[in-house]
Amino acid sequence: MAQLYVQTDNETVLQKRKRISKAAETWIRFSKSKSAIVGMIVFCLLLLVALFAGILVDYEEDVIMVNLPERLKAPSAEYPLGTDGLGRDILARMIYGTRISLGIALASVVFQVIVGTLIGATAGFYGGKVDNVLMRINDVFAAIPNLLMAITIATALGHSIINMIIAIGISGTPALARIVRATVMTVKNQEFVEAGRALGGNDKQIIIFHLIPNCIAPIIVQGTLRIAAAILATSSLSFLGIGIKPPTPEWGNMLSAGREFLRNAPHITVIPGIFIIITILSINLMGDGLRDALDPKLKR
Amino acid sequence: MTAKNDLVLDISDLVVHYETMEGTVKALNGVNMKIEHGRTLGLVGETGAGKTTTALSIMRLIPDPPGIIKSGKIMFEGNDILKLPESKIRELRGSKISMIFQDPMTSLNPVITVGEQIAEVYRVHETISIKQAEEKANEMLELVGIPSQRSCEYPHQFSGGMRQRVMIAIALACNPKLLIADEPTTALDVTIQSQVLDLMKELIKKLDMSMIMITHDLGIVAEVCDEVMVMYAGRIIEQGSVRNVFKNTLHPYTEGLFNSLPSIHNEKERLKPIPGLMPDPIELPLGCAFAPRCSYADERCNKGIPEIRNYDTHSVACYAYDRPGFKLRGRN
Repeated sequence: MAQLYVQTDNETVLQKRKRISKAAETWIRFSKSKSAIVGMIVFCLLLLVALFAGILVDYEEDVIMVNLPERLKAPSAEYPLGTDGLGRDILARMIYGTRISLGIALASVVFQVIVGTLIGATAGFYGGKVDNVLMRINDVFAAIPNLLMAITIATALGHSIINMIIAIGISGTPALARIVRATVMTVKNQEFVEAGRALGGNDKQIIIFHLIPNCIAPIIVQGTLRIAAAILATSSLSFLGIGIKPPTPEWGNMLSAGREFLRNAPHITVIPGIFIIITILSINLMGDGLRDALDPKLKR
Repeated sequence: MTAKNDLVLDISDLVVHYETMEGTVKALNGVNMKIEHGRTLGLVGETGAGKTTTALSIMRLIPDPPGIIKSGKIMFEGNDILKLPESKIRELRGSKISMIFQDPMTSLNPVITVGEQIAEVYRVHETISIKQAEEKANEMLELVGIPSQRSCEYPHQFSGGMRQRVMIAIALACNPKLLIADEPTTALDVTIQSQVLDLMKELIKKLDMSMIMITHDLGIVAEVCDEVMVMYAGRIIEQGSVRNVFKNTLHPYTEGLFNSLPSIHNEKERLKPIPGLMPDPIELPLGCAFAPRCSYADERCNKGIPEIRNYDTHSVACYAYDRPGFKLRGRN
C-alpha cells in the first residue's frame, strides 16, 4: 500500500520496459521452435524478393522479352535456373512471379480473415435468427467447391489481380467463418463475458475485447494454412488460364506453360513447383510456431 | 439529508420467474430490500434461495430468455433500474454498480493481460487515453496489494486469491456507489478468504460505498456485514442488524442454519442439519415455504404465506410469533 502514490514518471518507465519485454517474451518463445525459425527465414526471404523484385530484375528486358535463340536451356552459369520455351530467364521470372503469387495470396487471406471473423463472430455471438441467416448464406458458399467458386467469380468479374484476390478470398471465407463462430460459441458462455457485461461493456466491446482475442489461435493456424491454399488456388487458376495472363509471370502460369516441354525440359515445370512447395511449407511452419508463441496458456 | 435520501438502493416487491420447459421456476417472490449509504448488507441462504438472481436483477443481467422480471421496482439514485433503457443501464454497470463474481478462475479473460482488463473499465466508461487508463489500472493494482509490474501478466500466472484481488480492482475501478459481491470468497481457501475480506472491508470504507455481500457462510456475514437478510425460496424471511439476527434469532430457518454450524466448544455433539430439502421452486407450497421442514409449524403455516413484520428487535416472516409467548427452542 505504501507504493500507492508512486511517481507517474517511474510508472511510465516501468510500463515501457514491460511492453518491450512482452514482445520479447513472445519472440523468445517463438525462437525456441527451430522449425518455426527456418519457416520464418524462408518466408522473409521470399517477402524481400517480392518487395525488391523491381530492383533485382528489369521487367521489360529480363522478364517478358522473348529471346528465341536461347529457348529451353538447362540451368547453367548464365541462366541459373535455365530458360523457358520462349527463351526467358526462369530465375528472373520466378523472382517477379513471387511478387504476384505472394501478393495475391496474402491479400486474399487478409480479406478472408477480416470478413470471416466478422461473420463468424457476429453469428456466434448473437445466435438465433442472426446466426441462422448468416450461417445458411455461409453454407451456400461453402457448398460450392472452392476452385469452382473461384473460377466462377474470376470469370464473372473478369481477369485482374483485384478480382483474383476477391475470388480466392470469397471461396475461403466460409471455412474461416465457421471456425470463428465455433470458438466464439464456446467462449461466449464463460463467466468473464458476463463479467464484461457487468462492467458495462456493450456487444461490440465484448466481441472485440473478449471474444476475438480468444479466437486468435485458430485464426492464425487457419490463416497460415489459407495462405498456402491461396497460393495453390492462384497457381491453379493461372494454370487453367483464367488467372494471371501471360506474359506476366506467375508461378501457376509458368508451371502451366512448361507442360508442353515436360519431356525435354522438365526444369521449366519443376522449378515453380518446388517454389510453391517451399513457400507453403515455410508458411505452415511459421504459423505453427506463431500460434504456440502467442498462446499465453502455453507459457513457461 | 433525510433518511430517505441516504438510501442507495431500494428494491420493492421484486418478482422474477424463469420460464423453462419443465415449468415456471419462481426464483424471487416479492423481495424488498433497502440499503443505506455506506452500509454492508449480507444476503444469506442456501443454494437456490434466489441470492444470485437478486444480484443479477440489480445489474439487470437476468438471462432473458428464460428469465422474466414479473413485477417490482429497483430504485437506484432516483431511477427505476427496471425501466431504464439498455444504454443507460450499461452506463451504470461497472461505474455506479459493480459486481464481483464467485469464481475468479473463470471470470477473468485468459488471453488478455490483467492490466488491460482493468484498463478496459476506464475505456468503457471514461474518455481517457490508453496510456492514462493503463496508469489508472496500475494504481488500482497497487491499491489491492499487487505490484503494478505484474500488470502485464496473464490471469493464469496469478493465484486464486490474487485473481480475486484483480476482480476487486476491476469492480472498484470507477469508484462505484454499490458493490455486489456474489460469494467472492467461496473459491478461496480460508487464509486467503480472510485476506480478501479484510481488503474489501478496508476499501469499502476508504472509497465510501455500500455493499451487498452474498454468501452462505455465516462467519463472513459476522465479520463483514452491518445488516443481514436471510433468504429462503425467493423471499426474505428474516432481516435485521447482524447483532440482532445472531443473538436473537427469530426465524426457525435461521436457527436451523446456526445449528448446522460446527461448534468449537462441544466437539462430541453431532451437527443438527435442517431436515429435508428446499422445496422445488417450480411447485412452491401454498403456505410458508419452510413449513414442511419446520419443527414449529402448525396448520396455519401450510395455508398462508406470512408477511415480514417487525417483531421485537428486528423483522421476521413467521406465523409462530402470533402465538402468545412463542420462543424458539434456542441454539446449543
